[in-house]
Amino acid sequence: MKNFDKDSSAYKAVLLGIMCAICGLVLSVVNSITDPIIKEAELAEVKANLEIMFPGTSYEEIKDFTDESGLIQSVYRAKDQGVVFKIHAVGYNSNGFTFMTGIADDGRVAGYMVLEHGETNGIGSRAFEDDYISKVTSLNAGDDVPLLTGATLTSTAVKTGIEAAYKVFDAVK
Amino acid sequence: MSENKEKKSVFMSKLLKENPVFGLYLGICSTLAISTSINNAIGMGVCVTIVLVLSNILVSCVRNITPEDIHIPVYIVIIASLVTVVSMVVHAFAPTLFSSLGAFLDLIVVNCIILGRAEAFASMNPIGPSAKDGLNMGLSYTVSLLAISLIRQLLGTGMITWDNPFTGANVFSLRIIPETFTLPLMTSQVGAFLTFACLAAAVAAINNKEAK
Repeated sequence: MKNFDKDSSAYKAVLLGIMCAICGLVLSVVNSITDPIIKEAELAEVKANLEIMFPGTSYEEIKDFTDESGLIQSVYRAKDQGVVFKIHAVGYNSNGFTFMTGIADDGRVAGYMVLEHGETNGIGSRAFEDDYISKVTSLNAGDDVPLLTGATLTSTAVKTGIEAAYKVFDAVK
Repeated sequence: MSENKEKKSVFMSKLLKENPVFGLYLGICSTLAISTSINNAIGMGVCVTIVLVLSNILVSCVRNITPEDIHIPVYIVIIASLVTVVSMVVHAFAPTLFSSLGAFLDLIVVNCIILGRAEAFASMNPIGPSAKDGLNMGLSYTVSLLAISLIRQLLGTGMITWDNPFTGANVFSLRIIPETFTLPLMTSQVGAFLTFACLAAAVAAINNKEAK
Protein backbone atom coordinates (compact mmCIF):
# COMPACT_ATOMS: atom_id res chain seq x y z
CA MET A 1 0.00 0.00 0.00
CA LYS A 2 2.94 2.34 0.80
CA ASN A 3 4.36 2.39 -2.72
CA PHE A 4 0.92 2.93 -4.18
CA ASP A 5 0.36 6.37 -5.69
CA LYS A 6 -2.51 7.88 -3.72
CA ASP A 7 -2.98 10.66 -6.24
CA SER A 8 -3.49 8.42 -9.25
CA SER A 9 -6.98 8.36 -10.74
CA ALA A 10 -7.02 4.59 -10.64
CA TYR A 11 -6.57 4.58 -6.86
CA LYS A 12 -9.38 7.10 -6.40
CA ALA A 13 -11.75 5.19 -8.65
CA VAL A 14 -11.01 1.89 -6.97
CA LEU A 15 -11.35 3.40 -3.48
CA LEU A 16 -14.70 4.97 -4.31
CA GLY A 17 -15.83 1.73 -5.93
CA ILE A 18 -14.88 -0.32 -2.88
CA MET A 19 -16.60 2.18 -0.58
CA CYS A 20 -19.81 2.01 -2.58
CA ALA A 21 -19.68 -1.77 -2.72
CA ILE A 22 -19.26 -2.04 1.06
CA CYS A 23 -22.09 0.44 1.67
CA GLY A 24 -24.33 -1.36 -0.81
CA LEU A 25 -23.66 -4.65 0.92
CA VAL A 26 -24.45 -3.21 4.36
CA LEU A 27 -27.63 -1.62 3.03
CA SER A 28 -28.86 -4.82 1.42
CA VAL A 29 -28.21 -6.79 4.62
CA VAL A 30 -30.10 -4.25 6.76
CA ASN A 31 -32.89 -4.11 4.19
CA SER A 32 -33.27 -7.87 4.19
CA ILE A 33 -33.68 -7.74 7.97
CA THR A 34 -36.04 -4.77 8.23
CA ASP A 35 -38.13 -5.28 5.07
CA PRO A 36 -40.16 -8.26 6.35
CA ILE A 37 -40.89 -6.39 9.59
CA ILE A 38 -42.07 -3.30 7.69
CA LYS A 39 -44.25 -5.39 5.35
CA GLU A 40 -45.75 -7.26 8.29
CA ALA A 41 -46.58 -4.00 10.11
CA GLU A 42 -48.29 -2.64 7.00
CA LEU A 43 -50.25 -5.85 6.57
CA ALA A 44 -51.26 -5.75 10.24
CA GLU A 45 -52.66 -2.26 9.69
CA VAL A 46 -54.72 -3.45 6.71
CA LYS A 47 -55.85 -6.48 8.71
CA ALA A 48 -57.08 -4.28 11.57
CA ASN A 49 -59.33 -2.49 9.07
CA LEU A 50 -60.50 -5.76 7.53
CA GLU A 51 -61.40 -7.10 10.95
CA ILE A 52 -63.99 -4.31 11.29
CA MET A 53 -65.74 -5.50 8.10
CA PHE A 54 -66.01 -9.20 8.91
CA PRO A 55 -64.70 -9.95 12.38
CA GLY A 56 -63.16 -13.24 13.36
CA THR A 57 -62.26 -14.77 10.03
CA SER A 58 -59.16 -15.24 7.93
CA TYR A 59 -58.38 -13.04 4.96
CA GLU A 60 -56.68 -13.64 1.68
CA GLU A 61 -55.84 -11.04 -0.95
CA ILE A 62 -57.27 -11.61 -4.42
CA LYS A 63 -54.82 -10.30 -6.98
CA ASP A 64 -56.37 -11.41 -10.28
CA PHE A 65 -59.57 -9.42 -10.68
CA THR A 66 -60.65 -7.29 -13.61
CA ASP A 67 -61.98 -3.85 -12.81
CA GLU A 68 -63.08 -1.66 -15.72
CA SER A 69 -63.67 1.41 -13.56
CA GLY A 70 -60.09 1.51 -12.25
CA LEU A 71 -61.37 2.57 -8.82
CA ILE A 72 -60.72 -0.64 -6.94
CA GLN A 73 -57.30 -0.77 -5.31
CA SER A 74 -57.37 -4.12 -3.60
CA VAL A 75 -59.72 -7.01 -2.97
CA TYR A 76 -59.65 -9.36 0.01
CA ARG A 77 -61.67 -12.49 0.45
CA ALA A 78 -63.00 -13.04 3.96
CA LYS A 79 -63.26 -16.79 4.36
CA ASP A 80 -66.92 -18.01 4.23
CA GLN A 81 -68.25 -14.50 4.81
CA GLY A 82 -67.74 -12.16 1.89
CA VAL A 83 -65.37 -9.91 0.01
CA VAL A 84 -63.78 -6.63 1.11
CA PHE A 85 -62.86 -3.90 -1.37
CA LYS A 86 -60.52 -0.98 -0.94
CA ILE A 87 -61.74 1.73 -3.28
CA HIS A 88 -60.33 5.06 -4.33
CA ALA A 89 -62.95 7.44 -5.76
CA VAL A 90 -62.93 11.12 -6.63
CA GLY A 91 -65.68 13.32 -5.24
CA TYR A 92 -65.35 17.04 -4.61
CA ASN A 93 -61.67 17.10 -3.67
CA SER A 94 -59.61 16.30 -6.73
CA ASN A 95 -57.24 14.13 -4.68
CA GLY A 96 -60.11 11.74 -4.11
CA PHE A 97 -60.75 9.65 -1.03
CA THR A 98 -60.19 6.04 -0.05
CA PHE A 99 -62.82 3.86 1.54
CA MET A 100 -63.45 0.25 2.34
CA THR A 101 -66.60 -1.68 1.76
CA GLY A 102 -67.43 -5.28 2.54
CA ILE A 103 -69.98 -7.25 0.53
CA ALA A 104 -71.27 -10.37 2.24
CA ASP A 105 -71.74 -13.62 0.32
CA ASP A 106 -75.53 -13.08 0.27
CA GLY A 107 -75.04 -9.78 -1.57
CA ARG A 108 -75.74 -7.24 1.18
CA VAL A 109 -73.34 -4.45 2.04
CA ALA A 110 -71.80 -5.59 5.32
CA GLY A 111 -69.57 -2.64 6.01
CA TYR A 112 -68.60 0.77 4.76
CA MET A 113 -65.83 2.90 6.22
CA VAL A 114 -63.70 5.77 4.99
CA LEU A 115 -59.93 5.43 5.39
CA GLU A 116 -58.67 8.77 4.15
CA HIS A 117 -60.47 11.79 2.75
CA GLY A 118 -60.09 15.50 2.02
CA GLU A 119 -63.78 16.32 1.43
CA THR A 120 -65.18 19.54 2.91
CA ASN A 121 -65.88 19.19 6.61
CA GLY A 122 -69.58 19.33 7.40
CA ILE A 123 -70.60 19.01 3.73
CA GLY A 124 -68.94 16.20 1.80
CA SER A 125 -67.75 14.63 5.04
CA ARG A 126 -71.38 13.76 5.87
CA ALA A 127 -70.96 10.85 3.47
CA PHE A 128 -68.64 9.30 6.04
CA GLU A 129 -70.82 9.85 9.10
CA ASP A 130 -73.08 7.46 10.98
CA ASP A 131 -76.37 8.50 9.30
CA TYR A 132 -75.12 7.75 5.83
CA ILE A 133 -73.10 4.72 6.94
CA SER A 134 -76.25 3.09 8.33
CA LYS A 135 -78.07 3.79 5.04
CA VAL A 136 -75.28 2.21 3.00
CA THR A 137 -74.88 -0.80 5.26
CA SER A 138 -78.59 -1.64 4.94
CA LEU A 139 -78.31 -2.11 1.17
CA ASN A 140 -78.87 -5.40 -0.61
CA ALA A 141 -77.69 -6.53 -4.03
CA GLY A 142 -79.45 -4.51 -6.75
CA ASP A 143 -80.46 -1.61 -4.46
CA ASP A 144 -79.55 1.91 -5.48
CA VAL A 145 -76.90 3.54 -3.31
CA PRO A 146 -78.61 6.62 -1.80
CA LEU A 147 -77.29 10.08 -2.61
CA LEU A 148 -76.91 12.90 -0.11
CA THR A 149 -78.44 16.30 -0.82
CA GLY A 150 -75.69 18.91 -0.69
CA ALA A 151 -73.00 16.27 -0.93
CA THR A 152 -73.94 14.99 -4.36
CA LEU A 153 -70.40 14.77 -5.69
CA THR A 154 -69.09 12.86 -2.70
CA SER A 155 -72.01 10.46 -2.43
CA THR A 156 -72.03 9.90 -6.22
CA ALA A 157 -68.39 8.90 -5.94
CA VAL A 158 -69.29 6.46 -3.15
CA LYS A 159 -72.12 5.10 -5.34
CA THR A 160 -69.80 4.61 -8.35
CA GLY A 161 -67.26 2.92 -6.11
CA ILE A 162 -69.76 0.50 -4.59
CA GLU A 163 -71.26 -0.27 -8.01
CA ALA A 164 -67.77 -1.07 -9.31
CA ALA A 165 -67.25 -3.27 -6.24
CA TYR A 166 -70.49 -5.19 -7.02
CA LYS A 167 -69.30 -5.85 -10.57
CA VAL A 168 -66.03 -7.31 -9.31
CA PHE A 169 -67.92 -9.16 -6.55
CA ASP A 170 -70.08 -10.92 -9.14
CA ALA A 171 -66.95 -12.04 -10.94
CA VAL A 172 -64.95 -13.27 -7.95
CA LYS A 173 -67.56 -14.65 -5.53
CA MET B 1 -14.06 18.81 42.39
CA SER B 2 -12.44 21.61 40.38
CA GLU B 3 -11.83 19.17 37.54
CA ASN B 4 -15.49 18.33 37.57
CA LYS B 5 -16.38 21.99 37.46
CA GLU B 6 -14.05 22.49 34.53
CA LYS B 7 -15.61 19.60 32.66
CA LYS B 8 -19.00 21.06 33.33
CA SER B 9 -17.98 24.47 32.07
CA VAL B 10 -16.44 22.94 28.95
CA PHE B 11 -19.71 21.15 28.27
CA MET B 12 -21.71 24.32 28.90
CA SER B 13 -19.50 26.36 26.60
CA LYS B 14 -19.86 23.65 23.96
CA LEU B 15 -23.59 23.69 24.48
CA LEU B 16 -23.80 27.46 24.08
CA LYS B 17 -20.92 28.63 21.87
CA GLU B 18 -20.47 25.59 19.68
CA ASN B 19 -24.10 24.65 19.67
CA PRO B 20 -24.74 23.51 16.11
CA VAL B 21 -28.17 25.10 15.97
CA PHE B 22 -27.93 28.31 17.97
CA GLY B 23 -24.18 28.93 17.82
CA LEU B 24 -23.20 27.75 14.35
CA TYR B 25 -26.65 28.02 12.73
CA LEU B 26 -26.28 24.61 11.08
CA GLY B 27 -29.09 22.24 10.18
CA ILE B 28 -31.84 24.78 10.76
CA CYS B 29 -34.19 23.50 8.04
CA SER B 30 -35.11 20.22 9.67
CA THR B 31 -34.94 21.82 13.12
CA LEU B 32 -37.68 24.28 12.24
CA ALA B 33 -39.77 21.73 10.39
CA ILE B 34 -40.03 18.92 12.92
CA SER B 35 -39.89 20.77 16.25
CA THR B 36 -43.66 20.61 16.80
CA SER B 37 -43.66 18.01 19.55
CA ILE B 38 -41.29 16.62 22.13
CA ASN B 39 -41.65 13.18 20.57
CA ASN B 40 -40.39 14.40 17.22
CA ALA B 41 -37.57 16.34 18.86
CA ILE B 42 -36.23 13.39 20.81
CA GLY B 43 -36.71 10.96 17.93
CA MET B 44 -34.96 13.22 15.46
CA GLY B 45 -32.26 14.11 18.00
CA VAL B 46 -31.47 10.46 18.69
CA CYS B 47 -31.36 9.62 14.96
CA VAL B 48 -29.04 12.55 14.22
CA THR B 49 -26.81 11.68 17.18
CA ILE B 50 -26.46 8.06 16.07
CA VAL B 51 -25.66 9.08 12.50
CA LEU B 52 -23.24 11.76 13.70
CA VAL B 53 -21.30 9.44 16.02
CA LEU B 54 -21.08 6.63 13.46
CA SER B 55 -20.20 8.91 10.55
CA ASN B 56 -17.49 10.61 12.62
CA ILE B 57 -16.03 7.22 13.56
CA LEU B 58 -16.06 5.92 9.97
CA VAL B 59 -14.74 9.13 8.47
CA SER B 60 -11.96 9.11 11.04
CA CYS B 61 -11.18 5.47 10.10
CA VAL B 62 -10.77 6.24 6.41
CA ARG B 63 -9.14 9.64 6.81
CA ASN B 64 -5.63 8.38 6.04
CA ILE B 65 -6.49 6.42 2.92
CA THR B 66 -8.77 9.03 1.36
CA PRO B 67 -7.09 11.43 -1.10
CA GLU B 68 -8.03 15.09 -0.78
CA ASP B 69 -9.78 15.17 -4.19
CA ILE B 70 -12.44 12.62 -3.45
CA HIS B 71 -13.03 13.11 0.26
CA ILE B 72 -16.47 14.72 -0.19
CA PRO B 73 -17.90 11.85 -2.29
CA VAL B 74 -16.47 9.31 0.16
CA TYR B 75 -18.00 11.10 3.15
CA ILE B 76 -21.34 11.50 1.39
CA VAL B 77 -21.48 7.78 0.55
CA ILE B 78 -20.77 6.94 4.20
CA ILE B 79 -23.32 9.41 5.55
CA ALA B 80 -26.03 8.49 3.04
CA SER B 81 -25.64 4.79 3.82
CA LEU B 82 -25.82 5.41 7.56
CA VAL B 83 -28.94 7.55 7.20
CA THR B 84 -30.61 4.93 5.03
CA VAL B 85 -29.82 2.24 7.60
CA VAL B 86 -31.19 4.38 10.43
CA SER B 87 -34.31 5.22 8.45
CA MET B 88 -34.96 1.55 7.61
CA VAL B 89 -34.53 0.56 11.25
CA VAL B 90 -36.86 3.35 12.42
CA HIS B 91 -39.42 2.36 9.77
CA ALA B 92 -39.34 -1.22 11.01
CA PHE B 93 -39.31 -0.68 14.76
CA ALA B 94 -40.87 2.75 15.35
CA PRO B 95 -43.42 3.22 12.54
CA THR B 96 -45.26 6.09 14.25
CA LEU B 97 -42.06 8.06 14.63
CA PHE B 98 -41.25 7.26 11.00
CA SER B 99 -44.52 8.70 9.77
CA SER B 100 -44.33 11.83 11.91
CA LEU B 101 -40.76 12.65 10.86
CA GLY B 102 -41.58 11.87 7.24
CA ALA B 103 -39.10 13.09 4.66
CA PHE B 104 -36.95 14.82 7.25
CA LEU B 105 -35.55 11.52 8.42
CA ASP B 106 -34.05 10.87 4.99
CA LEU B 107 -33.00 14.49 4.76
CA ILE B 108 -30.51 13.94 7.60
CA VAL B 109 -28.18 13.11 4.68
CA VAL B 110 -28.03 16.76 3.72
CA ASN B 111 -28.02 18.03 7.31
CA CYS B 112 -24.93 20.23 7.29
CA ILE B 113 -24.05 19.41 10.90
CA ILE B 114 -23.01 15.92 9.87
CA LEU B 115 -20.89 16.76 6.83
CA GLY B 116 -19.65 19.82 8.73
CA ARG B 117 -18.32 17.74 11.62
CA ALA B 118 -16.88 15.12 9.25
CA GLU B 119 -14.98 17.86 7.43
CA ALA B 120 -13.99 20.04 10.34
CA PHE B 121 -13.19 17.45 12.98
CA ALA B 122 -13.31 13.77 12.10
CA SER B 123 -11.16 14.07 8.96
CA MET B 124 -8.25 15.33 11.07
CA ASN B 125 -8.61 13.51 14.37
CA PRO B 126 -8.29 9.94 15.64
CA ILE B 127 -11.31 7.73 16.23
CA GLY B 128 -11.84 8.31 19.97
CA PRO B 129 -12.03 12.10 19.95
CA SER B 130 -14.11 12.01 16.75
CA ALA B 131 -16.71 9.79 18.35
CA LYS B 132 -16.80 12.08 21.37
CA ASP B 133 -17.19 15.12 19.17
CA GLY B 134 -20.08 13.44 17.37
CA LEU B 135 -21.75 12.62 20.68
CA ASN B 136 -21.29 16.19 21.97
CA MET B 137 -22.67 17.73 18.82
CA GLY B 138 -25.54 15.26 18.65
CA LEU B 139 -26.51 15.90 22.26
CA SER B 140 -26.44 19.66 21.90
CA TYR B 141 -28.51 19.33 18.72
CA THR B 142 -31.03 17.26 20.66
CA VAL B 143 -31.11 19.75 23.53
CA SER B 144 -31.69 22.65 21.11
CA LEU B 145 -34.44 20.76 19.33
CA LEU B 146 -36.02 19.90 22.65
CA ALA B 147 -35.95 23.55 23.76
CA ILE B 148 -37.67 24.75 20.57
CA SER B 149 -40.29 22.02 20.55
CA LEU B 150 -41.02 22.35 24.26
CA ILE B 151 -41.88 26.03 23.79
CA ARG B 152 -43.84 25.40 20.59
CA GLN B 153 -45.82 22.47 21.96
CA LEU B 154 -46.55 24.23 25.25
CA LEU B 155 -47.74 27.50 23.71
CA GLY B 156 -49.34 25.90 20.67
CA THR B 157 -51.31 23.08 22.25
CA GLY B 158 -51.03 23.85 25.97
CA MET B 159 -50.02 20.27 26.65
CA ILE B 160 -46.88 18.35 27.44
CA THR B 161 -47.20 14.86 26.00
CA TRP B 162 -44.99 11.88 25.49
CA ASP B 163 -45.87 8.86 23.34
CA ASN B 164 -44.06 5.58 23.26
CA PRO B 165 -42.18 5.85 19.93
CA PHE B 166 -42.26 2.08 19.35
CA THR B 167 -45.99 1.51 19.77
CA GLY B 168 -47.46 4.99 19.42
CA ALA B 169 -49.35 4.61 22.70
CA ASN B 170 -49.68 7.69 24.83
CA VAL B 171 -47.56 7.39 27.96
CA PHE B 172 -47.87 10.78 29.53
CA SER B 173 -49.95 13.86 28.85
CA LEU B 174 -50.45 16.92 30.98
CA ARG B 175 -52.44 20.06 30.22
CA ILE B 176 -50.70 23.16 31.51
CA ILE B 177 -52.44 25.96 29.62
CA PRO B 178 -56.26 25.81 29.23
CA GLU B 179 -57.34 25.24 25.65
CA THR B 180 -58.86 28.74 25.26
CA PHE B 181 -55.49 30.39 25.84
CA THR B 182 -53.33 28.38 23.44
CA LEU B 183 -51.72 29.90 20.35
CA PRO B 184 -52.19 27.49 17.44
CA LEU B 185 -49.89 29.82 15.48
CA MET B 186 -46.96 28.39 17.41
CA THR B 187 -47.39 24.96 15.87
CA SER B 188 -47.20 26.40 12.35
CA GLN B 189 -44.02 27.45 10.59
CA VAL B 190 -44.29 31.03 11.83
CA GLY B 191 -44.07 29.78 15.40
CA ALA B 192 -40.91 27.87 14.53
CA PHE B 193 -39.20 31.00 13.24
CA LEU B 194 -40.32 33.12 16.20
CA THR B 195 -39.18 30.57 18.76
CA PHE B 196 -35.90 30.00 16.97
CA ALA B 197 -35.16 33.73 16.74
CA CYS B 198 -35.88 34.34 20.42
CA LEU B 199 -33.76 31.40 21.57
CA ALA B 200 -30.90 32.27 19.19
CA ALA B 201 -30.94 35.87 20.48
CA ALA B 202 -30.86 34.64 24.08
CA VAL B 203 -27.90 32.34 23.39
CA ALA B 204 -26.06 35.13 21.56
CA ALA B 205 -26.70 37.50 24.49
CA ILE B 206 -25.25 35.00 26.99
CA ASN B 207 -22.22 34.43 24.78
CA ASN B 208 -21.62 38.18 24.37
CA LYS B 209 -21.90 38.77 28.09
CA GLU B 210 -19.33 36.05 28.74
CA ALA B 211 -16.98 37.50 26.13
CA LYS B 212 -17.08 40.90 27.82
